[in-house]
Amino acid sequence: MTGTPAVATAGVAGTSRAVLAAVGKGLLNAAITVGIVLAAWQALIMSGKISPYVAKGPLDVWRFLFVTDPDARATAGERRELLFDLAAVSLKDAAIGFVVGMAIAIVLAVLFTLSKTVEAGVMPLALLLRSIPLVSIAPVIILLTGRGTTASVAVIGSIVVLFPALASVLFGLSRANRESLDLVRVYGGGNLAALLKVAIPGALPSLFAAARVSVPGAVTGALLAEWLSTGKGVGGQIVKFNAAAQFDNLWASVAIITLVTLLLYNLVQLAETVVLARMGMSQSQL
Amino acid sequence: MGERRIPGWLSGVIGVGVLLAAWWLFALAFRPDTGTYTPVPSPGAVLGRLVEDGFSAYWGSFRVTITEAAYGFLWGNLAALLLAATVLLAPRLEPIIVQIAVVSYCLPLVAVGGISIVVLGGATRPGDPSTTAIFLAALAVFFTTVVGALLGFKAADRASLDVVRVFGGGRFTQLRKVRLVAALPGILNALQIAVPTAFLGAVLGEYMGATDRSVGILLIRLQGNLDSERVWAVFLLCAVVAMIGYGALGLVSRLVTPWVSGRSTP
Repeated sequence: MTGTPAVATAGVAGTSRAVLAAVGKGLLNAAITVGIVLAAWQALIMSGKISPYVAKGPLDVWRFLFVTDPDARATAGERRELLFDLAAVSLKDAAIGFVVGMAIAIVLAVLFTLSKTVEAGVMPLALLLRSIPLVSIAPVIILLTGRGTTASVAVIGSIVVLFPALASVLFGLSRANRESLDLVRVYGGGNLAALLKVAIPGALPSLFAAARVSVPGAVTGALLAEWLSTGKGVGGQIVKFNAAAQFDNLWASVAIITLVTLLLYNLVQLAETVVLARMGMSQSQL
Repeated sequence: MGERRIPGWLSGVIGVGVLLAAWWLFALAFRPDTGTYTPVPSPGAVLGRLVEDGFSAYWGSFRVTITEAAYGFLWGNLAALLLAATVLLAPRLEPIIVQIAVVSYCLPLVAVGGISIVVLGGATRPGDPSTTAIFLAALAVFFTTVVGALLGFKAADRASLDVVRVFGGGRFTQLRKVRLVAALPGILNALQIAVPTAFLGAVLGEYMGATDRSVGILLIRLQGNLDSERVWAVFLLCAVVAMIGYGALGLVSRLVTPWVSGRSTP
């Protein structure tokens, strides 16, 4: 962060090389992991403990999505279109929950940092929301927001996202550098100035960690909302696939959602690596 | 930041007060003009119902769900700790272990539950724990425990490791005397977070069906009967059970790792 211009440029060149190396290593690790997971999945299916009528392996899913049998009722293209459309709806719902949940988490974390009284008042509510099974409050939320509305998706999704994100952002804000805080105070800055100039920039690693962890949470929330409220998207179809014994569709949709979530998670992580490397900060694990 | 510290008991009082006030307001705001069904009953009505029914009326269902959550907690954390412990033998595997944990975290629990109920099934006899609920509880705790344990394994103090080396200890002695001890706070913290998560996972699994007696099925029945007072009583009990589990594990970690104070050292 400090130093002569020459040192700074060397630092930038160094970070961009470091970022490239991190990207390459990340891709390699991701490829190895996907290989391991697929192999484990196939091994589980081939262990013969589960009836092949119900259990579908990665090869089955691949064939289902990309190979058309001559006597099949639907072509692979049609099956793909159905599932990708469902996944697109679910992703849109997940995006709603993610944005609303993260926004509330950040606002609450800032308020909590500014005032301990607000924290004491609101934290138990957040904790309570977290420890009640969401599947069971969902009917109440739906009653209040209306069945199938965007509001119900936003509320259910943001409840899932809120708590882990809030915990992470709060942790980040609480680790503000003491000397920098003192500096702001010496120059006559108040709580707000300290927050804007020191705590929030310092909390970036935690903010990114919160965003990263919230991605799968938002997807879970979206599926829950779809299952219990809108009946659209992957969450809404799971029950129908199950009832109609369409196990190919079931496994394929789980595979698609997992893959997309994994991709998004790693994208956020990549953005995190790049930004934090530029700012000379280290990554926060959780 | 703020230098003002409000005492613990006061923040507790404020918290409970705001909670009850918010609940009252909600109950008033969403009170229907007609009909007998109130989606949000007042705290007084719910507590009254709870006292009237007595805890034993709900215990039969909670016993099953707590059993499921406990099994899920055990298996999920065991698998997570074993996986995380492989970094002690092969530190290079760490990024891959993290990614595997991330894959498990990205699995959509709702959809996996749909598959699990077909593949693993639910409770075999009424009153038995549901296999799907155990599986979902285990899956729900896996990620956080892997990450927590990995953080713990990295927490070992370099100087202490060097001391062991200087006195002629090998890698195994380092592991036993330094690394495991240093990892304990991180692991226990992860296990503490896992308690409510396991409980929620178990209830989600019960919503998939195939159980006769459990919190999930109880909630489905009560909601079907529009018995909102009892639904909210079960909500309260769920929160209480989750808090008790969380608190109990916090107490255990205080006893096991008494050198850890509440705040991290600067």
